[in-house]
Amino acid sequence: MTDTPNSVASSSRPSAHSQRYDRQLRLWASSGQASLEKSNILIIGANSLSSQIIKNLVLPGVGSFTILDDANVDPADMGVNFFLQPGQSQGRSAAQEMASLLSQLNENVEHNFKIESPQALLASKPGYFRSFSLVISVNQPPEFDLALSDLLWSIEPPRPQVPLLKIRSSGMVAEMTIDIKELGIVETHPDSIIDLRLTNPFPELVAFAESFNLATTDSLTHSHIPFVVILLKKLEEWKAKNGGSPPSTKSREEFVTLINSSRQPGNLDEENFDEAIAALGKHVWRPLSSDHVGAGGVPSEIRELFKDARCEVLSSHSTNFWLMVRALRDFVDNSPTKSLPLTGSLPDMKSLSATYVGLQNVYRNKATEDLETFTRILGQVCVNAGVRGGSGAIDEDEIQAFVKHAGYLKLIRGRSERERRERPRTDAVTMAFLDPVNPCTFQHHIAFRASDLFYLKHARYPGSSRTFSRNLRNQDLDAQGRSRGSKPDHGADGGGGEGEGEGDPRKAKRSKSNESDEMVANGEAAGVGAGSDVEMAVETCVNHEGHGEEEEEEEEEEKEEEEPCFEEDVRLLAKEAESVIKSLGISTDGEEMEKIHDSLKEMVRSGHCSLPPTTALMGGVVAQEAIKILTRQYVPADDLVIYDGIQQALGVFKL
Amino acid sequence: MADVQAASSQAIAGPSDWKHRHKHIDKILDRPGPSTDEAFQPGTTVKTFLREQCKILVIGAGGLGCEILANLALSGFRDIHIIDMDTIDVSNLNRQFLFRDKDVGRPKATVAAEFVEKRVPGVKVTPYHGKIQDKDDDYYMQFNIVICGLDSVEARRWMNATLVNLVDEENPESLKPLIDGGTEGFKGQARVILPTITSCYECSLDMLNKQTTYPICTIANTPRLPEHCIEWASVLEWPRVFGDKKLDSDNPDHIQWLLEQALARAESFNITGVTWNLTQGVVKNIIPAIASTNAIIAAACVLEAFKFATTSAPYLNNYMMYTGNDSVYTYTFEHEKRPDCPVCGGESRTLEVRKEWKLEKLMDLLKEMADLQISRPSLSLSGKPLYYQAPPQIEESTRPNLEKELGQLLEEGDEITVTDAKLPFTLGILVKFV
Ligand SMILES: [Zn+2]
Repeated sequence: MTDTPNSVASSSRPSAHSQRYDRQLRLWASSGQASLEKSNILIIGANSLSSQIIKNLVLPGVGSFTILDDANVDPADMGVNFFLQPGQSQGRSAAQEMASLLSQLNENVEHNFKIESPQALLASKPGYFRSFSLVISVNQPPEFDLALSDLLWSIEPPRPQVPLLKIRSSGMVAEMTIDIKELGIVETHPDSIIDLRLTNPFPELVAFAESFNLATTDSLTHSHIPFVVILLKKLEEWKAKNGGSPPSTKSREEFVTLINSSRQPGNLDEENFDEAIAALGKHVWRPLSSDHVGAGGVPSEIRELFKDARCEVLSSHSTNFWLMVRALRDFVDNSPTKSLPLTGSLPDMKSLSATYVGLQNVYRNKATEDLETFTRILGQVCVNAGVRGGSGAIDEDEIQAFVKHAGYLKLIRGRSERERRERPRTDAVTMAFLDPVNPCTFQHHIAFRASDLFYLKHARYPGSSRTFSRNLRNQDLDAQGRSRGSKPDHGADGGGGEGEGEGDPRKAKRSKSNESDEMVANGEAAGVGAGSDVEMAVETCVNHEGHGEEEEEEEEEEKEEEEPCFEEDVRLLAKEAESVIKSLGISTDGEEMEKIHDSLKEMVRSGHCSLPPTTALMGGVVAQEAIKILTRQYVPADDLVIYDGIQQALGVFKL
Repeated sequence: MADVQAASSQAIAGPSDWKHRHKHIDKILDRPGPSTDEAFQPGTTVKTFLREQCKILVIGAGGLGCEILANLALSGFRDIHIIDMDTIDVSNLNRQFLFRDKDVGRPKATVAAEFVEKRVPGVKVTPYHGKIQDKDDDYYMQFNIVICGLDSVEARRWMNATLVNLVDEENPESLKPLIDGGTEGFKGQARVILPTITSCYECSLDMLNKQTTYPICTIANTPRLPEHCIEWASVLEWPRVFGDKKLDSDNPDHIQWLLEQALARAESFNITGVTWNLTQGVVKNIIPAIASTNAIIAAACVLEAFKFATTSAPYLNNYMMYTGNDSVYTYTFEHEKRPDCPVCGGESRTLEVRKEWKLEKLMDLLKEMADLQISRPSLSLSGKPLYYQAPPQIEESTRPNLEKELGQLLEEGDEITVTDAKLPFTLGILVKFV
């Protein structure tokens, strides 16, 4: 519980390792770094978005990463992917090329690639996916993401759970969902863990305060009475005058007057009194109005943990987090003031060196005593639970960190993809459209979901051709077949045109050598010259007018590689959005619809394209969340994050 | 394998272009979205401007700068200039991804430019290894957009003031959007400044976190924290022992010496916690930095630049704050222009003082103003020095004024001129007696 001592080890020059990571060690310390270096991450999908994510994991030094994808480098992706090298990467496996170029960022990181279809691998070797510390699925089909989520969600202790992050982007918009079954975080890094116990002092602290005299006439002494002592004495004085009750927030002013009455007339050097008044809010009024929270009292979130079934019923499979929560509950029960263990941290304050060190020792000694008591209780808890390792099962450093953060623990209990889809929290959706402070971003989630349904029907993303869409997904043939087959409305799509037009060449695309040829051919056919695309799209629109649905489909089939008609795709996407809107319980006559409709248009405009600033930004957000989950430090988002680059806003929703 | 190579060489039309290279970005440029401005000209016009005409300047090739450069190049900017005065240090490698171990010691601007040119064929990145102050108005006039990815307040103030002063109402080309990004640990901000039109960097100076400072009397007499002992070693002991020899915080021998002094002092006061890490952190004022936050802020800046170059979506008006330590959070808002901003505001600033105050008190007041961020101001009245920090002769001759009362030195309505090494302009302050 003491701060780092002036030991030889900590005063020696830093190693090459700590020099390289210095700027991040100041955020998550060597304990966080060690967790990061032990981790083993799977990234599904080799594309510009995943390369931005991996970059931000390799730089801080994760243990190892594996890229899973069977596709070759797509020339369009190479135009927006910084971890492909034009003149070298084309025609090669995208996973292999990216792994190799990304590994150059940090030679401490082990890099792997697996050239296999994710869908096929999920079907044949599900165990493979369970062997990682974290899985990140990038631009994968929703059916695949759902199956993967089901698989990882079904892992039960003692096997460690595998959190899943699912990400996609389209133009200036992107989203990520996080599946975490349960994550107990100890080092949440609150702004301050200072707990002065002013409203709830322990005997040694009372005795320390008693050794001071506020009425001293020596001005130097008076100016250096620590504010902690001033407040302790004034609280005592108030209680003595008011039948033993402490001041209430209503008597704020009177209490301030009482403090000021002890200032020495003419002494201009009394910052210690200013400090005392400045500390009132945090260390006196807040604890007094909340059952001593901030002064040893147990905050309501921690009380919730005490009531949790996992705290109640322990077993040999219980995680360290729950074993320690249970020990904390027992500690509080045994404490005469029903207090949490003391953190022992003291802020700087005006005082003489010796006084400050003396006061610091009062807090530190009490903290050490509490830590010892806690460790003893924890040992018993571990023995009773039958944990392997018995009373010494948990590492000393881990216990220390827990005790220091006992008032700031955080438990995240997320939802699975299936729960989100089948039972979305409609109240969260209603709130999402009512944010009074920040721009609304939730409409984009609806657009992404509608776009998924669109894909199932039309075998392409709205606003994009089939080739472009398929290259985005790196979709294998089986899944492709499934999505075709599941096309309920129009038989035309699966008709004769398909076999000739695309069946064989698409198969060929998977065999590496033909891909580039096909791309060239497609490009020429589509007439990619700037400007002409737009005109052609308008023409197509005109052609479509007045046609029946069936004919439309045929036409779409013939001119397959042309840019699809914008207006038509907006209309079709809006149709798909209807069921999404209904399932999320959104009223269709409010302002929400305007936002949603704009988002659908933007979705068709961008056609799921990768815009480098958007992928880079999401790459930052996803890596950051992965790091928080892997280090179990700071607090990850729970559970849907949406980025809107047009408005420059990020929204988080618990769907 | 031979077949693979042959096939792929067909796909690549030339070293700097290949079929479908722009397919992703062109989707955004070929048609407007629902929020796109009417002025947007989809297709050839906007692509030609972005890829052949737009000239963009990046200030800083550090954590943000590396991200900004790579991302601009991928986004289609082809004429990029980069200024940075630093060389590469090993502690940069955890986030500055254009640099490798072998590059340590080389200029950041040059190495970054070389890397991006190699990875993104056809992009021209022109590096300048030096200070932004080396360049004149004509130099800055050639750019369409400027992006700042700096950790120095001083450099940003200079860049901001320079771009505001560049604005000539007769010449619309003289208005250069300034996009500014900054990060600290899990936090950061990105903003768009339209010089003279929106709030500028100077307008928001009071939003900066106040740098931790330790009172000199605490350091000298009543140390309590390990930081106090380190400050004592660097601020008081170093000059006492080494005289004019400059402390180099990058020199490990210097840090070692400070550490030893601080340790000895800490021991004599029973203070614990002096470490190498802390010593280095205090002396260099180290700000934690990670790749992910830099990626986020840099990307937001580049997206804004892309919007300016293409008008494909409305630009940010005008400030986005980001926090990533507790969940993920942004706050997007319009920062208001300050009418009395010394750089972009028209109104002069009034300071209420008392006649009996000494000039020294006025000096202290100026130093404490969060929106000024100055530490050694020099004051003059109608060209005559009231107090000058330098040269030594004038400092000496004006020093007695510090003890004089303001009533003796000034009259109601006088305008005092304030200069400071940290101020990229001279500041006029109107005196009002109360
Ligand atoms: Zn301004």
